[in-house]
Formats: sequence, C-alpha cells, structure tokens
Amino acid sequence: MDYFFQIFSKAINLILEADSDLFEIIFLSLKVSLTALFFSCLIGLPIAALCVIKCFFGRNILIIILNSLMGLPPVLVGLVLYLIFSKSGPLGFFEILYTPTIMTLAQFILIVPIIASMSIQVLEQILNEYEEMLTSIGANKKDIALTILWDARFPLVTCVLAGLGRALSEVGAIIIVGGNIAHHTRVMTTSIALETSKGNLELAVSLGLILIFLSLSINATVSALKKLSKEFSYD
Amino acid sequence: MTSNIYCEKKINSKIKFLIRTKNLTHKIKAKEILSNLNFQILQTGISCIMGPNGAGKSILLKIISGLIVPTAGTLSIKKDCKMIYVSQNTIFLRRSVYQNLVYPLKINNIFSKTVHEKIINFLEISDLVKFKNHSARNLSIGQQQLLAVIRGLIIEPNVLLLDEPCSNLDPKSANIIEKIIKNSSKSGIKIIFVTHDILQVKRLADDIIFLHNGEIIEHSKKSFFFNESKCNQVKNYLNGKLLK
Repeated sequence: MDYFFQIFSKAINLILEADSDLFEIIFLSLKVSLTALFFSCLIGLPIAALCVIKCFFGRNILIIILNSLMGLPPVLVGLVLYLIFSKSGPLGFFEILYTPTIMTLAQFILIVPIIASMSIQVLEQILNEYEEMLTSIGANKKDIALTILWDARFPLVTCVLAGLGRALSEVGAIIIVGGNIAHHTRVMTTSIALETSKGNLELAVSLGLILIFLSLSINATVSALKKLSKEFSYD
Repeated sequence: MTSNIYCEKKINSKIKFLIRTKNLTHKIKAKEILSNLNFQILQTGISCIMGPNGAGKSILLKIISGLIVPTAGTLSIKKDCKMIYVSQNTIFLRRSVYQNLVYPLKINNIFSKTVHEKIINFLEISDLVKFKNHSARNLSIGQQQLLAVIRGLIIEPNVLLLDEPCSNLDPKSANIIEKIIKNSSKSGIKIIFVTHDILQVKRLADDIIFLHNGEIIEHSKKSFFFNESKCNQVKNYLNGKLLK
C-alpha cells in the first residue's frame, strides 16, 4: 500500500510542481487531439447533414461504412498510414512520418466516423420531427439542413465530445506513426506506455491522472450541456 | 358524386378556381386511400373537407399542400400561389414563441422594419404575447395550435390549409382560432380546413367537400349541404349515425 501511496504522492507532486516535460506532453496531446477534432467536425458534421438531408446514390452504403468505421482498430490505422507515408510508401514524399501532423491525421481518421455516425442519428431524429413542418412553411433543403444543425447543437456537442474522448485516449495509431519521440511526438498516452515499461511510474501515473481528469472534464461538460440544453434550447 | 355548384357542366367562365383535380387517386401500398376525385375549389372563401375517420381528408389536404404526391390523376393549382399547411400535430422549433414566428419570415425572405410589430400584433390577437419568450414546445396544446395557425399566417399566404385546427381545444381557444380564420378569409386568404366538427363547419364554411372511403360523396355550398342534400350518407353523418 505504501508503494502505491508513494507513487501517487510523487505523481501529484509532479503535477503541482508544473514539471515542464509533463506540460509539454499535455500541451502536445491537446494540440494534436483538438486539431484532429476541429477537422473532424469540419468534415464529419457536413457529411452527417448531407446523409440526412439528401438522398444521393450510395448514401446507405456511406452510412454503413461510417458505422463500421466507428470500431476501426487504431493499430490498423497506424499501420496503413505508416505504409503510405513511410519513405518507400506512395505518399512518402510528404515526409510527415514521425511528426504531429500524421498523428493528427491518424486521430482525424479515427474520429470522423464517430462524429459523423453519431451526428447522423441525432440529425435524423430531429429531421423526422421537423421535415413536414419546415417544408410546409417554405423551407428549402439548405434551410432544413441549417435549421436541424442549429436545433441539434446541444446533442451534436455531445457527439463531438465523444470524438474528443476517443482522440485523447488513443494510443495504438499514434505510437506507430508518431514514434513517441521525446519533445517532438510524445503525447500522454504514448508516454504512459513508455514510462510504465521503463519503470518510471511517477510520470506515468501523473499523466494517467491528468488523462482521467480530462476524461472527467469531458463527461462533466456533456452533463452540463445536457442541463444547459434543457434550459436554453427551449426543448 | 353529388355537386350542385361545382360540377364541370356548370362552370361559369367568370368563376376563378384555385384548385382543380382530375381523377385524383392516391394509394398507400395496395390500399386506395383516395379514388378518382374530381373537384374544383374557388379562390376565395372558406372550404371545408369533412368526413368520418379514415375517409382520406388529411391525405387530401397534404396532397393539395404538395407534401404528398398523388399516385395517379392530376391536381392543378393556380400559379404563384403561396400555400401554407398547418398540421394537426403541431411541431415547433426548439426556440421561443417569438423565434418560431421570426423563422418563417426569415426563410421566406420577408424582412422589414415592422417585423417585430407584426409578430407582436399576431401574438396579441392570439393572446400569446405574454409567452413570447417561453419555449414554444412547452405551451399548452391549445396555445400550440394557435401558434401554428399564426405561424402559417405571418408570411401572408394566399391559401391556408388547416388540418383539424381546433381539435382538443377549449371553447375559448377554438373561438380565437375561428375568429382568426374568419378575419383571414375576409382579408382575402383562401382557407381550406379539415374537421369533424359539424357545428364548426356551420359557423365557418362556405362550401363543403364530404369524403367517405376515399370518395367525394358530396361537394356543395353550406346551405345546400345542411338543408337540401339528398345524399343518405350525408344525412346519416349529420344525424350522428355510423357510415358503412
């Protein structure tokens, strides 16, 4: 028990001392995940709106693919990106392997399906409710898309936060494409894996605590948003 | 079909029709909901579509509004006619009462400095002004039906299609809606509404289309419909008997 206590107290000290290495890792994790999240929203939400509003060729196949990709194994994404972007790969000339850019790309690939699939479900529900009413008062497809996106903003934020949760906790893909290089591509999850294997449990635990804190913060935000949506969304 | 004023032979060239149908038929799967409907509706006044449950009234109203495409036959509607359909299931945006009235103006590009006054005026008429910042979805059923009618009227349509606008309403709310319907009709808006309420039809309608099992049994003026109709099904319905 003393052993656990010692590790935890040292880990908390590391956090309280604002260890520069620790905060560098946290900052990079947030930078990579938030960038991936931003681009995933930029692509995922319009895809969701398009799938819900438009009846285009291949729509159902796209939805099936997106749903299937929600459970995409991260190591597989990492491996495929590695093969594509390694020096001998077809896109090797970009020279982004072992950079935060490819880590962002890996997380983007992993969370776009989550955001799009979950958003499709949310938007479909609101569209079923609104469509006849909106059409009857003269709304066109664009009006309908914008209206359901706006009125679904609170549940959509929940979808986005689910994506962020996945991005922050991701390790399999980014360890392959990022290489876990100190001061360059080392993020929280890859650091935990490395420091644990090295026996540097204090740093691993402190990063784990911060990861848990971030996860709790995301969940608390989701919960607060649900409350806010009841108050401010006129639902 | 019995029709004393609108049958093809008697069409007066000076009479302007808003809607004409020719063999209008609608099937859902194999079931025929509407069968070969031929009728005309005038550009002015209040027309009522009446009939027992399952007669096809609401489907006919939705076809007129364009929300449903009929499976056969033709439906001709006067050009450049702004038509608004108000469903019996009132749905509102997750926004305030006021915002629910701003929305149709916005999407129909109706902007003016008097928009605010216009909305407040409508809310005052309907006795909803004190709820303007409340959630439209949390209003009572009666208030929601009132708001739905106002939402339709605020964009100044040529035709207002109302599907059972006063169902489940208390007399006060029903009275307000009926007043709004009458005033809208006086101001030139064509009203077509669906109802079961015989007394409401007597109070409001100028002409009545009586539907039964997807067929028009009678289409006539109100006075003829209530006093001179020779149709047994109409007589039975008006006497509260079940129709076969």
